[in-house]
Amino acid sequence: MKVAFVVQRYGLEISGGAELHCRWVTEHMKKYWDVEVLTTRALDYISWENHYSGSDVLVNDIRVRRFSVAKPRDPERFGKIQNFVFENEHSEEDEIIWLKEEGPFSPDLIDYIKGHIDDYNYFIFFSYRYYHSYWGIQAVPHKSILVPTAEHDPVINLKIFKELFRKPRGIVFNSLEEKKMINTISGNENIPAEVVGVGAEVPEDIFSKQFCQKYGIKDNYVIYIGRIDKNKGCIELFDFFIRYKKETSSNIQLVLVGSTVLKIPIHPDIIYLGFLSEEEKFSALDKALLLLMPSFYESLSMVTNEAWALGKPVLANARCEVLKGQCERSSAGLYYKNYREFKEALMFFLGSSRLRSSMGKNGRKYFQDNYTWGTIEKKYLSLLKRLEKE
Amino acid sequence: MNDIKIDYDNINVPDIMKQIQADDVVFENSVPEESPSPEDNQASSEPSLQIPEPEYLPMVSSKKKRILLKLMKPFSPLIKLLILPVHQELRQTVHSLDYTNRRLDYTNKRLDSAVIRYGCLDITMEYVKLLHSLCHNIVVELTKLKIEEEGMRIKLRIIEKDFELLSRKEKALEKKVFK
Repeated sequence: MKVAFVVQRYGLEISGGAELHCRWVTEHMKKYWDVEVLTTRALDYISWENHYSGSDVLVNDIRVRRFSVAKPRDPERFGKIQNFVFENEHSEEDEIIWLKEEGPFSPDLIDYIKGHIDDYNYFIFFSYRYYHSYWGIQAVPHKSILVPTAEHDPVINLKIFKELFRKPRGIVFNSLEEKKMINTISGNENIPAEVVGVGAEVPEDIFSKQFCQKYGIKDNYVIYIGRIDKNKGCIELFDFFIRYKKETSSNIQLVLVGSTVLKIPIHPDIIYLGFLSEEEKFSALDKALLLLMPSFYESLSMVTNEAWALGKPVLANARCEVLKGQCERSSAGLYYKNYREFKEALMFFLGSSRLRSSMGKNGRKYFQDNYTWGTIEKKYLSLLKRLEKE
Repeated sequence: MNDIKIDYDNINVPDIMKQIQADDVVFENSVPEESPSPEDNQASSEPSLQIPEPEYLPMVSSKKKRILLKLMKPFSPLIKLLILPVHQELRQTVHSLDYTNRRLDYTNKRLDSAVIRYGCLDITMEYVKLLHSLCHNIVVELTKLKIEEEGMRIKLRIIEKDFELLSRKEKALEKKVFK
């Protein structure tokens, strides 16, 4: 069976989001199918400027066909159109213009799909919100599988996507909450679907002691891993943590890992370590008391799964339905929707090592049952088997 | 915080959250205890200066004073000055003035010491801020370098693989040519 994975960007340099999700799935499904990746030459997700030169390359032994972006995104123009579409009454044509401006605008990629429909058994599209998925699915609806990676943000309410969600042959959701949201919006319950998500691999060598020595950190800390950004709820997290420190006499520290687009507040117990390698990231997570996940929008949090893989409990933002649902299903995390709940839950976690270890155990089990690569691979195989039978 | 009941063998997150949220309600409905502000703490740590309250002497009632003044009007203003208990009012005024002066002295002293102390504190805070900014910038720069290094390493790996592929191609072509 020949399967094409279609995604907005693809490369070893891209270290997060739907692109990494796609790469991991592709690399794991290689052993079952003849896989190829169809993508653009872009590396930067803001401008979509053509970056990669080769149009037909091997990445980790997977054939990757890259197509040029005909017009990079003009952020200013895009911002204006987006504001108009989100805040005013508008037509579907306006949304199509918005989609083209959002990009990555690569008609060559769509033409290739149209011209090679018979060469592939299935096309798996990642991220519903981009040009390649919308026009790609229109080109091959009967052979397309969509991995929406949808979040509860304003884009999901655009009219063009309501129709789009009814078009593909199959859908792979990241979580039950994402499935419920998309089913409600589009009424597409009849489309074959699986709730799959993405797996995680824990490195064999975790040197947590050495990590603490290297960075001079005491082992009494909570951790946030990810992009330090307003959209990820980091401003609220800083505010809550500083208030927590003021109101309690706790000696807990907050360790931040990831690239930042924010100025991190001055506080002796907020320690910013920047971007770390995978080994160091897992070492940091392994020594933490718990993971804080303040994000408002997530279709699936990879780092939450990684924390559970290591047996660490999670304190998540309850306003993100996916995180809240995952905490409840796994019995491995608490959540908060205001400062009081944050304070209570954190105090409760820090005061009870038994709670942390019980929840950690639950998290590990939840991860083993749902997010090991063996389970993920089986779910993809079973969906395609179902489609074949139909 | 009230005691939260948990069955550790069978953790029920919604149940725990309900208990936490119930605690929230208790918190919101109860009047929070006023925690002393830093200024209050500062004030309480100051050595207290005991300023005696001025003594207020019993005064002649105004009605009596009016009758006496009427009776002695012809001898006024001499009698007024010598006989009437005006000195009490004067004493009282002097007392008040003295008390006010001492309070002013005390406030000035506190102000001076606070200016000196907070002045030093300000400088220290500025140093801390500068050091923090420095650390922040260093971490950001190191992060950039780390990302760049990872990128370069990946590029190198890709080039190596391309090179291997080309070598294999070259060998295959050579074989075909020499056949």
